[in-house]
Amino acid sequence: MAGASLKNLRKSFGALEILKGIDLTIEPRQFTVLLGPSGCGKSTTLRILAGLESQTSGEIRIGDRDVSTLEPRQRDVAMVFQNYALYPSMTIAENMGFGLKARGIPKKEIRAAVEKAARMLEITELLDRKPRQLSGGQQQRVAIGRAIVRDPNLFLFDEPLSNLDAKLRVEMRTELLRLHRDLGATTVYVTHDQEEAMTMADRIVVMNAGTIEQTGSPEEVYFRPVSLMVAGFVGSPAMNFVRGRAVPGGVDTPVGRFEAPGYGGDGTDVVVGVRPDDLELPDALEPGERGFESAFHVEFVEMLGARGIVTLRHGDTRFKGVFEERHLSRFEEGAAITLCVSRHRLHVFDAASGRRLP
Amino acid sequence: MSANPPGRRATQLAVEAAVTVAVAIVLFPFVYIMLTSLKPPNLVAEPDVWWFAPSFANWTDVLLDSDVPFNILNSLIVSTTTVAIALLVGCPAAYSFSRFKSGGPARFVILSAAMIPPAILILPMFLVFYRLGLIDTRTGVVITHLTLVTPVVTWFLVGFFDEVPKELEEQAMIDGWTQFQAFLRVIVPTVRPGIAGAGVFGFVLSWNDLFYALILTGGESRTLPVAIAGFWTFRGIDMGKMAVAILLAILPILVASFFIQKHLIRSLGGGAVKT
Amino acid sequence: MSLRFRLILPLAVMLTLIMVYPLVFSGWISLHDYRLTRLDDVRFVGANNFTFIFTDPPFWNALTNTLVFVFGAVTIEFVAGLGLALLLKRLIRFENVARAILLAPMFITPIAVGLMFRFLLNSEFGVIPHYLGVFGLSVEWFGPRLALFSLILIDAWQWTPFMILMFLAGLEALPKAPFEAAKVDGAPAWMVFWNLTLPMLRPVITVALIIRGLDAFKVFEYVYAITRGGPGNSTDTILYHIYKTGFRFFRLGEAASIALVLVAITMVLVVALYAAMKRS
Repeated sequence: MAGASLKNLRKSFGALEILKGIDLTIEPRQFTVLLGPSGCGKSTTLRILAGLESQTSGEIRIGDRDVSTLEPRQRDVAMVFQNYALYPSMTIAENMGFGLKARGIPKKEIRAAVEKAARMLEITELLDRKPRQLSGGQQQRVAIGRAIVRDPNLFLFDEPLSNLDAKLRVEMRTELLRLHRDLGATTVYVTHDQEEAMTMADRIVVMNAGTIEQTGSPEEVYFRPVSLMVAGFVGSPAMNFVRGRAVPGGVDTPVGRFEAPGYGGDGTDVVVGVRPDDLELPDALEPGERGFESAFHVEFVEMLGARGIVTLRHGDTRFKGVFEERHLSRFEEGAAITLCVSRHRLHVFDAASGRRLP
Repeated sequence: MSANPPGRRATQLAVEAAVTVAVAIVLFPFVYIMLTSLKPPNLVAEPDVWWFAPSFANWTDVLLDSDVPFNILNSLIVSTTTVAIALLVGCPAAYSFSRFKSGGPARFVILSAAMIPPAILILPMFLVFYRLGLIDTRTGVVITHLTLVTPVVTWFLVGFFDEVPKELEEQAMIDGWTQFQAFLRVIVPTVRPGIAGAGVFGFVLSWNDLFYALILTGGESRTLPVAIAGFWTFRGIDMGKMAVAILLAILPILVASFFIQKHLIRSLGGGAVKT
Repeated sequence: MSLRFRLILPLAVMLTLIMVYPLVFSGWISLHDYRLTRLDDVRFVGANNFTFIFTDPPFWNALTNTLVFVFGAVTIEFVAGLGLALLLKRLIRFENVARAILLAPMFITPIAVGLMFRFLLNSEFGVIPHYLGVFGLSVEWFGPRLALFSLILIDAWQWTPFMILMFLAGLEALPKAPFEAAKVDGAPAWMVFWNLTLPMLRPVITVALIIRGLDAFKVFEYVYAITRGGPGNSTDTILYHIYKTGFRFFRLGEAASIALVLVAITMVLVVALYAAMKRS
């Protein structure tokens, strides 16, 4: 299995710059997720990697080959599209074998490869049907099977699960991970769904407005977001932000003082971020560990089952917090409650640049 | 609508009555021509005779003892050849217009070509064909009919190709095919029903043409419409035989039209009236 | 050459040979005194053909007849077509059969339609005048007063189906939600038609009217089959006039100039059509 790399990749349509210099190394056998809001350039990056669109400048390598100017068919990649793109005029077996047919593989071998992939995906009984006779979930499996049959250098997925209903989406996630583990295939996966990225990725590449914001493991991206954009985009419910002023030893904000020891404040404007999961009841944290403590009014509670999302207010600032069901009885709507945050769970960003402060 | 209140029932009856009247207006000429074709020659000009012993004299006269079978053959050859060439040339171009968004200008040219009046083309065509010895040949008629059929067929096809998601050919290209192979092996089979519909439509256009064929054919290559027109001249008419010829021209087209109607409605709704 | 142009090439070559070249040739002919009877004596006459036809009463007569024909036929077809499309939509039983029958005429050979009606409406042995006579009505369908109107009715018989087809397609493509909302709001049927159906159909209506208008301009078969321009010249239409001038009187130069005028009118309508399609 080969890796891939993009070097200073740029793409513009006329005056509109879609990609502003992307540098990215995709490690062999890793599951790399390109994550970002719509229009951030993630799909364009994937399509350029596949050869479906040409870059304005920059270099693309797959394995040890420079593929920058090669046609899609010469790049030995497989792709799964959001709308599955099954060939309506062919049976499922023909769909899956069409890539091997292009390479002049004998019919017998194609059949064997198709059947093997069909068994892996448990779609053997669908092989003689036409795509329109299949449900969305089955079509999805066929699209994945078609990619597997090819045994390509690189698997590319363009938002493959977003046309499925919620339950099926979660099932397919697991299935894809299982396949990835079994095949050990280098995978690049585009999604705007941060939960999908967090659960599936070995490495997440967060993109924004044509540039890469952060590259890292799900843990790094979640626990040490390098910018306001990443911090706000990853995690659900989204991170709480409050503007403040850096003072020696901490940050003063409208909701109270945040103790941020590693950070020597000098009066600049900053934004403090707190994940809803990191808001704690005072008895959960030792006093010495608390980096923030303040009183909030409970506005309302959304029950999710085992957990609940509580909307809290301090002055004009609203925070959301996530608490386990057994604690929810303490959040009576309208009541006041004191909450705190561990000093290790504070995120401080420069207000002007949006970058994380150490 | 399981409930059926009396008011709704009355509206429904009124709707059915109105449609029935329209259907009768459409059907009456056919029925009457059909009856006429079966009347013995002495009753053809008697409009109030509805009961008579059917005679097949008109049918046997026309089918066995006239040029009409040859005219039908001419029409078949001309229309089939025209449609085949139009599709062969129109398909790739339509795909290119659709896929590469040669949008504006190309589509406008095709639309203009589809609407150009035959009167402007026939004069030079006639002169050129005269030089080339193409007057009164099926080749000449096919060439003029191509001006009639190709733009319309191409226009329809652009609409069909527009509806094919571009991921299909992208998938094929990633699967290892060139774009042209993707067009031939994936896109064309996908729009096959549309191509068939456009083909039938083009066939009807060519089959029905009188203007070009009238001017260009006189003997050998006479098409069916020209032959039909010849049944009623200033010298006289033979209404019974004309009825048979009319039915022979109409029936294949009617059968074909039933196959493409549904398709036409869908394609017009789906794209052929948009650009 | 890129694939994009290679795919277009055959069509481009073909249209150049069989359409662009004849068009240019026609333009050239229109500037000459070009007669089939005097092919060895073709003289350049500049715009003389045009100045001639613009002062030629038969040309204006043909143009007026054509405009009356187009206006009359398209109006009748529009009203009948919209009505029948709406009726078909409301039909619960036999919808498919009724639709198939009502659409059928538009596919039929126009010359056959012309001759059919010439027979049906014939004043001596036509079935329709015969039964009108039973009611004491004597109608001279192809007489000087009614001939053009009769041709309009025949055109309507054949081409109302085209309007039905367009409007069925248009109705099919309409979103359901606004109509369901109107139903929930309890809006009466006429109000739904006037405030929802009609405005939402407007793009299709525009396109249908222009296409039909363009086609009606080329009316030829009914004239040729039934009246040959008569009685007098009361049903002489542009295309029939060109046919006569060019291939009965062999004055190609004059015929080409009339055809060019027809092309000019056509192009104005095509531009309007294209704009209307773009909007829809």
